[in-house]
Amino acid sequence: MTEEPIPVSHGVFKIQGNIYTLNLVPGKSVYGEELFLYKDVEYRRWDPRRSKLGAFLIKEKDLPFRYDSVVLYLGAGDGTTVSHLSDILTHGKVFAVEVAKKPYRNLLELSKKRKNIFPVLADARNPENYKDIIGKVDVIYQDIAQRDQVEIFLKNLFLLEEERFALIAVKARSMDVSSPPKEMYRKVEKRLEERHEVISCVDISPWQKDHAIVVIKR
Amino acid sequence: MMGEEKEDEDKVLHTTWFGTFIIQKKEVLDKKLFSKDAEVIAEKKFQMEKGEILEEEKELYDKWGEVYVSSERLTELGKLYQGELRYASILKEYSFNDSLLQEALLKLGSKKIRESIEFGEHMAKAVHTAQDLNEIINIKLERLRDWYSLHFPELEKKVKDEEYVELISKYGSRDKILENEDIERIEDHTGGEITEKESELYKKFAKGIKDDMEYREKIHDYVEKRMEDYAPNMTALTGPKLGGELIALEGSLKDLAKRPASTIQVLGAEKALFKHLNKGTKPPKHGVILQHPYVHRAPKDKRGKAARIFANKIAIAARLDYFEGEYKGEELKKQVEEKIKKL
Repeated sequence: MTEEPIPVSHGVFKIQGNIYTLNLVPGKSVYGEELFLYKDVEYRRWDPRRSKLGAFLIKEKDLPFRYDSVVLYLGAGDGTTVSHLSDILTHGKVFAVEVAKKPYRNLLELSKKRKNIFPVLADARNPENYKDIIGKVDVIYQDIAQRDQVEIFLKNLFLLEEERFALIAVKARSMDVSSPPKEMYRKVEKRLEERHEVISCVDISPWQKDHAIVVIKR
Repeated sequence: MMGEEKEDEDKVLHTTWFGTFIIQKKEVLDKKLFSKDAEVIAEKKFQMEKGEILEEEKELYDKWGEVYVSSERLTELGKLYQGELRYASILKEYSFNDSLLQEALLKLGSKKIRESIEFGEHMAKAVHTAQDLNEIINIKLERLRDWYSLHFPELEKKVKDEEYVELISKYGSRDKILENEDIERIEDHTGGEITEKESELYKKFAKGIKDDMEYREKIHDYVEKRMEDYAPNMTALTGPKLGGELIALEGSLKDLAKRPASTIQVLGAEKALFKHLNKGTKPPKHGVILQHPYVHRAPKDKRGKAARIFANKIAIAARLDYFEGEYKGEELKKQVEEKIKKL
C-alpha cells in the first residue's frame, strides 16, 4: 500500500487504511495518538475507537465540516475529538461546551495551544448561558451520554444556521438500558423527524458499541 | 405579515459578549461596548451567568425606557422578544476579535472552577483516600504477618495490630523486642534466626504501615471536624462518618443536596439497583445508610421502611447544609427516631 495521504474530507486524509488530520500544532500528540510525517507535513492519527466522529467518518466516508466552518460541540469531554476538529477548522472555530470540571481543565490546556478552540464551561441544557458568544453556527455536533440527550440537542438547534447540518451521537444504553439499541435509534429518529429532516442514521459499531450518529438538517 | 412588521418596530435590549445594544429594525440605535479587556469580559459573563443585570443594561434601559429584551435574565426590564434574533450580521462591525473572546473564556472557565470547589469535594477525596488506605493497610499487614512469622510467629497472637506494627518498626528482631518490652517469653518457639539485613527490611516495612495507620487516623479526625463545621445538620443526623461517605459517593455536598431521598436511600447499592433495573431482581432497600443503627437495628422486615424514613431526613439535612440554612439537626433526629419507633 502506498504511503501517500489520500484526501477524504476537508482536512482529513486516509493513509494505509487509517484516517489522519493535518496536525495544526506540529510535533505535539494530544492523547498519545501516532504522528505521521509525509513530505514534511505532519499528520495525526484519528482513532475511531477513541472518537465517535472518527468512526462515523470511516463508515460514512464524509463529514459536514469545511476548513472555515464554525462548529458548536456539545459534550466536548477532554478534547480528543475536539483536537481533530481543530485540525480541520484552520479558518473556522469550534465552541467546545463541557459541564464537568475535570475534562474542562484538559480543554483549557488544549485551547491554550490551539487558537480555534473556544472552551465553554456550561451545561448544554441551558444554551441561554452561551448563546451570546456563539451567534449562529454551521454545524452542531453533540456527544452527551445522558438520558435526556435528545431534548438537549433540540434545545440547541436554534443556534444552527438554516439549511445546515447537526449531528448527534446517540448512546442507546444511557437512554434505556433494557431495550435493544436498534429500537432506540428508531425512536430518536422519530422524535427528530417531527420537526427536522433526518439525513442519515449511522451505526458506528464495531468501533463504538451501542452507538449511532444521527444527522439532521435544520 | 402585520405581526412581523410590528415586531420590527420594537426596540430590543440585547447583550453579547462585547457589549449591550438597543436594536430596532436591524439598526443599532444605541450601544455600550465593554472594554477590550479579557478580565472585564470574563467578569461580565460571570455576572450574566449568575442571572444579574449589568450596569450597561440598566443605563440603556433608563435611557430608552420601554424596550423588549432578548434574554430571560432581563425580563425585569421588559418583555421577552419573541421573534428570532438575527443580529449577528449587524453587530459584526462592533465585535472584538476572536483571540480576546478565547482569552476571556479561559479566564471565565478557570474562575468558575476555582470558585466552585466546595468543602464537600475535599470531604469526598478524604473519605476515598481513607477507604483506599484501609485496603492498602490490610494488604501490607497481611504480607508483614506472613513474612514476620518466619522469624517470630508467636507475636501476632500476643498484641493488637497497631502494637504489632509499632514493635516491629522499633526493634525489628525478636530478641530486641523481648529485651525491651514486657512480653512473655515463649518456650520452644518456632521462628528461625535472621541477620541484621532482614531486621532492617522488617523495620522499614512496619514503619510504612505505621505511617499509613497514623495518616488514616488523621483523615478520620479531619472528616469529623470538617463535617461538624460545614455540614452540621448531616453530622447531627448521620454522624460524621456516614455523612462523609454519602458526600463521597456523590462527589460533593452540592450533588448530594440535589438528590431525591429515594436515591440517597440506595446510595452505595448501585450494583443491586442496576441488577434490579436490568434483570428485574428485587430492588435494594438500603445502601450505605444500613451502617447506621436506625436502619440496621430495625427488625429485618422493617428495615426498608426505616431506611426510607432516614433517607428522607438526610435529604433535608443535606439541603439545609448546602444552602447554609438554619440548624435543625436535633429536630430532624427526633423526627426520625419517633417515626421509626412507630414502625
